[in-house]
Amino acid sequence: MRTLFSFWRKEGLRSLTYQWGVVAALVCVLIWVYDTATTNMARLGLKTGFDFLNDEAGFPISPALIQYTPQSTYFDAIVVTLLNTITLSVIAIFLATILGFFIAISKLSPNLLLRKFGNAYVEVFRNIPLLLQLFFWYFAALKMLPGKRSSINFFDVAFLNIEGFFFPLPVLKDEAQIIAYTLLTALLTSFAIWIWARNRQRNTGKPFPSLLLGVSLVILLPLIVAWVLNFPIKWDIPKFGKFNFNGGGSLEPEFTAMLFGLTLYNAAFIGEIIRAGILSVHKGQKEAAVSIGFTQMQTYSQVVVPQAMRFIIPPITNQYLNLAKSTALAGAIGYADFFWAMDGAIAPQTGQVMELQVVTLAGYLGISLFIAMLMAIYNRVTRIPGR
Amino acid sequence: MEPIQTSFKTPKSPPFQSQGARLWLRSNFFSSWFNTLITILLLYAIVTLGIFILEWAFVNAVWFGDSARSCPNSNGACWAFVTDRWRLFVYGLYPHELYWRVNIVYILASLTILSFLFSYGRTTKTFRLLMITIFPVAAYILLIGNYFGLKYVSPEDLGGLLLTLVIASISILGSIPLGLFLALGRMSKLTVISKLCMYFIEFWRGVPHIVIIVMFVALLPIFIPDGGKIDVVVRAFIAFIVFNSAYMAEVFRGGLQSIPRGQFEASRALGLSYWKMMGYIILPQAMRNSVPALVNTCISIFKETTIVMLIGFSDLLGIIQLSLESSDWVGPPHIFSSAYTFAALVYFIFTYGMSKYSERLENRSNVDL
Repeated sequence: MRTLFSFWRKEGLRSLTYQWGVVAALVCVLIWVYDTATTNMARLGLKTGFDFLNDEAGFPISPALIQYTPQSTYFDAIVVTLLNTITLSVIAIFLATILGFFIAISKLSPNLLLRKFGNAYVEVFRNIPLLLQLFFWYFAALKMLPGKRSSINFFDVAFLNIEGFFFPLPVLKDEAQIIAYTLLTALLTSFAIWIWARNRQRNTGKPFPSLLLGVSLVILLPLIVAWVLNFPIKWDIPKFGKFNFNGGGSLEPEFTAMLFGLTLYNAAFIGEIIRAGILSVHKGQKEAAVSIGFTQMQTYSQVVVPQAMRFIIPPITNQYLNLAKSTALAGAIGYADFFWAMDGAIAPQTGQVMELQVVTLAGYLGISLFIAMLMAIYNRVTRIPGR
Repeated sequence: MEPIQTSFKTPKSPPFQSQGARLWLRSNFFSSWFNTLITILLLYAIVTLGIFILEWAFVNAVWFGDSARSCPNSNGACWAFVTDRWRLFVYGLYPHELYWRVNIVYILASLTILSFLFSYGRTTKTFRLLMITIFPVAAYILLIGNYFGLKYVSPEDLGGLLLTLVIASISILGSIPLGLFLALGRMSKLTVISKLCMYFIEFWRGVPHIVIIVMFVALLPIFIPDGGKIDVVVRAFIAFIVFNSAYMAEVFRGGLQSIPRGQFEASRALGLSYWKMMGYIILPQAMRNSVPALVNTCISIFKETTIVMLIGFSDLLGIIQLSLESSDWVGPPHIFSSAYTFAALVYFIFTYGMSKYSERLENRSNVDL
């Protein structure tokens, strides 16, 4: 017996056996699943293949950021709704981060009332299911708005009613290109100034108000040029026609409700993350900065925030991923997002559940990977050197 | 002239502003003109909001009624909707004459929660273990029946708060062991196993939950022979357990990584095998360290149960939405807001309770699971 099983005592061999065993078992399971799936699909008479992507979709999608009609193909429908999902995620991430920042500040404020307020906000919005919050905004809050004929009027240029928010859109004349170029020049110049000022401060220690100069350049220069050109921008103002508003831009209530829900819900989590990050910076760092004569502003921007960022980035990445994933709930309140198109519109029409499932998974995994990659790059750029 | 002081001078009292209520008020509310402004604005907002809530929820509220017509005025809550339909919200479609079985389950659930809330001296651990093993079995037998002469009730009749709690408990109890194994696998030195576990975890974490649930409900019959015979409710349960186990795995990985290397090395030096090392030395400590994160995951699982309504289940939110759209209660938006407020309150009680529990555990240095 001893000679027969003695090979088992070698750790390397044993671990190899385990690993190959697992691989073999997995391969067997996969073959079995594949086999069952093919027989089942043949039995149910399911079509396979991705040819259906070129068929006519036949359903409308609103909002559509690129040209889309019901005559477009399924592939177009997928692209349009994927764009909707991405737009919604990006805007919600942006807004939730800003709101979360303010919540973090209010929870760190010396004012007791403001602290309690921040606390209450976080507890309420974090502890109520997102879907319920979306329902609230869509079915209760936005439905309380007045009807089309009694819209809330903002100076005769923007209108708010139960069908959405209608606002003027700028229509650019040809001369407006010059303004765009001016803006670009201003941006590049202020970037150059910033780099020059940073290098000078590193070498000589002399500070330069590059931020102030840059901001005023970017704002003032295009304004001056526009004034010289006599403001070559026309506004397309929404007008109430026979049944509806025409012209201008509009925000559908579905989109608005999604934006409200996602922003307010995730801001509570992001606020907590930012607060924890700022608190994680050792008190001595702040005191040291103040003792060598940094102003309050400099203490935060040069000492506290760069260090807090290292703690903030990983959990905030997670939260951004959660936000992007939770946009899949949009179909519940009728916003045409990626998952709504796949599960609610295309699957019932084509019946090709398997292929659509693969596309859905690939789409969301792609979005997740993309966000994770962006944040990893950001993390590398802002990392404190040597740590 | 006497050069030496022979008696103590009575100390001066501290400056007026540096003590007592006045200091507290000043440093908390009026430390600068900006803070004073914020205090005044917030006070105004709180008073206005408080009066509005009082008027909306109590003064102008309608408490009883049988249809949307009982709540004509939109400036008050419509609690009549809740008082009219509460049985549906609590028991779902469970047969009326069998409510006692559900009641026993609710009592058992409360007892289980109680066993984790307080310490009972030496018997604490036994009590908790006993409750956590008895509760799922008893709940299953009582709710579904078919044993001991209890009448069979289809899982599809579960609904309302009952279904929400059932999904949450099954997901939590099912995903903890699976997650633990995944975490051990991911931390394993065997490359193939750790890579496989990593891909498994990251895959489920990268996809929206609703996508996973729809996938299991729609595709399980294709991938498994006779999968069509698996009840839709059970398919959703499997989906919940699978993706939540990925989140649980990350929780336990955090706990495992918090154990110093020396603990592993010491147990190896004592000649313990891998499973003995894990079972006796590492896991007891790792579990203790991961309890706060575990409770947080339980909170998100509880909130996530709401998405089952999107595949047509009537959990608490689902049945409220269904009732809102029923012919009796379909009506103006203020009925919707009252109903959602009630639902939010119910969810809030559970999640806030859990988050307070996790806070208490974090503040206590020695935690027994």
